[in-house]
Amino acid sequence: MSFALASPLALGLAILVAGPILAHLIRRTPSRRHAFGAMLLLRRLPKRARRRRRLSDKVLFALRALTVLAVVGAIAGPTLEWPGAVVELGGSGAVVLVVDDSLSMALQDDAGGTLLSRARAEAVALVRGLPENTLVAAVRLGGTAARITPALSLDHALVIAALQNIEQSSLGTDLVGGIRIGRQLLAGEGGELVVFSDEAGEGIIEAATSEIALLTAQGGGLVPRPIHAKHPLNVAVIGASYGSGPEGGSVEVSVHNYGDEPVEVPVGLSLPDGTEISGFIALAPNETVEKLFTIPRVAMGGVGSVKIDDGHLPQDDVGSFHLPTVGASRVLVIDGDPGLTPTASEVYYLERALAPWGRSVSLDGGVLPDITSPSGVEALDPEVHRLVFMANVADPGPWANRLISFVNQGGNLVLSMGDNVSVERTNAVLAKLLPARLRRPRSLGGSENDGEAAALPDVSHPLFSPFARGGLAGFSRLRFARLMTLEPFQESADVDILMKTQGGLPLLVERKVGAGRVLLFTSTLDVDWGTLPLAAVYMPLIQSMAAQLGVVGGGGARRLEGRVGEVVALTIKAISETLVVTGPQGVVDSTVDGGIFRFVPTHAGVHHIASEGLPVVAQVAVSINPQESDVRRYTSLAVTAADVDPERFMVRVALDRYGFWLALILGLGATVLSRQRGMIEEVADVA
Amino acid sequence: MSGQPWDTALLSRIAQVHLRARRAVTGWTQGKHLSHRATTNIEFVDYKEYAPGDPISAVDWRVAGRTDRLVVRRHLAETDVPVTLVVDASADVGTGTPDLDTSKLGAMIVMAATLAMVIDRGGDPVGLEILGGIGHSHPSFPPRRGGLPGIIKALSTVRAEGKANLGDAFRRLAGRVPRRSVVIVLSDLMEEPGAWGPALAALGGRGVDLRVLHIHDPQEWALDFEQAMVLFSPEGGEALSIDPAVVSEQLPEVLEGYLAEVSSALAGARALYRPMASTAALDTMLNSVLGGRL
Repeated sequence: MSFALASPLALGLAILVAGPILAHLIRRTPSRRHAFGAMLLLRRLPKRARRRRRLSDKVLFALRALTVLAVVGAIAGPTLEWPGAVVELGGSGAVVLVVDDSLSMALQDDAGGTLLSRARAEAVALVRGLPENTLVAAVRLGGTAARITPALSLDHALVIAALQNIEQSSLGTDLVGGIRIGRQLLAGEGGELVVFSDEAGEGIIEAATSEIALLTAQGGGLVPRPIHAKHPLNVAVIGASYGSGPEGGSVEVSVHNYGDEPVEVPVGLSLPDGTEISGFIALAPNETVEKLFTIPRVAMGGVGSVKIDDGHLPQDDVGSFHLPTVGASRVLVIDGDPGLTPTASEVYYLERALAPWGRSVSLDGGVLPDITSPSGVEALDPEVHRLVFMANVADPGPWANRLISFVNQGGNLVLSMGDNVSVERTNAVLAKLLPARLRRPRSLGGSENDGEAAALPDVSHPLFSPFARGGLAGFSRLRFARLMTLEPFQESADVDILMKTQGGLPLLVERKVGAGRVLLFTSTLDVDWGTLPLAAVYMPLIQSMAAQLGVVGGGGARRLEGRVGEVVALTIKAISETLVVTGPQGVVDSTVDGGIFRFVPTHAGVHHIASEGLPVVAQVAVSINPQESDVRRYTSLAVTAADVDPERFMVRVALDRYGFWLALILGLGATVLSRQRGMIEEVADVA
Repeated sequence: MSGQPWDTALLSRIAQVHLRARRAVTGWTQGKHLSHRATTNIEFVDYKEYAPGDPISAVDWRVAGRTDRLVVRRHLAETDVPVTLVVDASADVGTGTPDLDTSKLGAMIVMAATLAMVIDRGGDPVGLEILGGIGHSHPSFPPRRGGLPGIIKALSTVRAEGKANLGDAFRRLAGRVPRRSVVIVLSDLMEEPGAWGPALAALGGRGVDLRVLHIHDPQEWALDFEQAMVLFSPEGGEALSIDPAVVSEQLPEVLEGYLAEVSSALAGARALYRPMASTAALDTMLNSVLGGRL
């Protein structure tokens, strides 16, 4: 709000206020005269005492002075200005209606509907009130702003139908895009852009300043039609993530109260295995509270969800988080060569790689494997185990079918070689699982240290992704003195060489079988044939295998985060062209371009990316854009637009007439008071 | 005070004063008032009942023998003390409350008339000098016996006007009044003491018994006004715009200085000084002036 004067120089007339001051200082002389017989005494008074005057009758003086000032102020032409004028449609001949269908417009208004429904109704009413020869178009703002009518049209019914078909989205507010599209529709021919929006969210309005300026420069005019809730209230889940903690760790849930009232909301946590954990969160206005939920010692990995119930914007009352498999042993190690000493066994190294901190704390981060001999493979339980390490097993024949079934059902198998392995028996009974037929062991050097080095693997593969941030060079220091060679084979969509020696011999070959995968390691997992167990890359590589292959529903699925309305992208291989994204509301449109798979989630929740009948490639925990959960207004479109085009959006109230009225009232008051005082004086004289 | 309407009231008032004065002087005995010389001749006046305290030699034993009553012979003392009443009828005296009982001029007239009657009844010659004023036939009545009617008439008709010129008046009196006479001044003394003090001192230096009744209006001296106003003297001079709320803080100090000057001037003339409010009771005024000495 600002104050302006049409004639500031008129304020110089304020000097006239000296009139009442002087009048009140000297007015006593002509008013009352009285014969006095003791003038001799008065003449002896000090002159300053005789001449000193008081501002007699302060009330009367104040009235007179204010009267003068009011008149002067009125003459100066005071004007009070503030932005926010409701600009009326000027009959320019073209009107573009921009309707905000973002998430925040799902807020309930006082009439029981949503803000969007009110915006639709007002927009439709506006169109119906336009002259028939007015060109009309409509644009929506949710997510990426888009036209809902192809161009300006005289077919008002078409526009009304399009407006009525606008559905509530869970997306953000693309006000900039909406104004840009509207501007393009007007094509610089002038016209009005009527925006129906709740104006909620920090920075959304300000970001549109340049577009509004362009619109104005091109002769267009912005006409804000705010659609506000009387008391905007909302509580939203703004984050959830798994971390360390007691028991099986904890999930930290962040909830924010965007309202101006304290609230307490129930919150429930759903773990991938169906476990429900509930609680309450008390929030002060505009407060974020992080609440920790303790995860049981044993929990299935996957994507969990959190849900609150605040009665406002249910779309942002949910959140999701990735939960690793916690506590349960999901790895079975079949030790085919127990060895005479502990270090002579593959299990010795595997156990320390899978549970590096020992059994006592293995539940907090590590994987505690079940270890058995080939005779104890009956312990394989598809309901518990997701990954089987079969190390240096001579003859898997007795339980080969069990392994094949396990893999086809989604289990994962890592085969490692050794001196015990029977090539013939293995090729015979595990042909359905092997990526390639085993050929024979081959020595690559006179000693272990003199063996052949490994080539660097591709870190884009999820198995090696932990090395993308460092440690990849450790692979080059691996030496393999002996390998199991393979029969020639072709890489395909199902067979992939993940790791080779620098001489090109396969070290790690992957094959997808049914719903599971098989990794064939052509060396030993102990130090018999190579230095892998002694290398720095050993433990993270085994951990990665356990993480990628040992989780339920995940297998090697990648864990991604995403937000509603924002592109989620991941690198895929050619076969992944058949990938489908399935979200809470069903299949989501996706694209593949240059090996990049993209989709834009429209709702919060878990999104699975998988080909039909195959393991999930990626799990995406999608959350709401917190900006849309913020239902508060930070500024108004009218204010921002007024900064760009002040003349159009300023409310002006001329105060001159009020000044004159005030002066009149004050003057009358002064007159009445003066007369009253005069009568009192006369009465006193008579007495 | 200068208004005529209360003249009849004045006469009525004087009549009342006459009666009151007569009651007051009843019982007065010869020699009770101040005499400046010894009695040489005694003229019989009348008898009165003997009262304790009367000189036993004054008892008329022949009457007592005839009537069996004790009576005392009363005689006229031949003190022959002329008394001159000086009444200030200047315009300043006419200000203030226009009331015969409480105004300055009214109080002076009533007081002067009463004194004249008392003195006349006492057998002393009484005269009158009116300073300023209008409406009266003669401003000056030399002291003589039987002059009371003229004095009363002059007092009943005088109205405040003009200036008193106290200094000139006292100088005139000094050349006119006999030595060892009594001069009673009734005035508001609203002239600079320095202007009249020497003349009064000269008058007192002639052996004249000076008695000054200083009459003032209490409302004026208290500056008892509610609003600021312009005050002016009927005798002329600068008018002053006065805010009572401001001036009243300074006035007591000025008044104190003025009264000190007046007292000093009167003391120099060996005068009996009696400041008195115009609202004071008549008896109080009489006692203050006569003090049982006249």
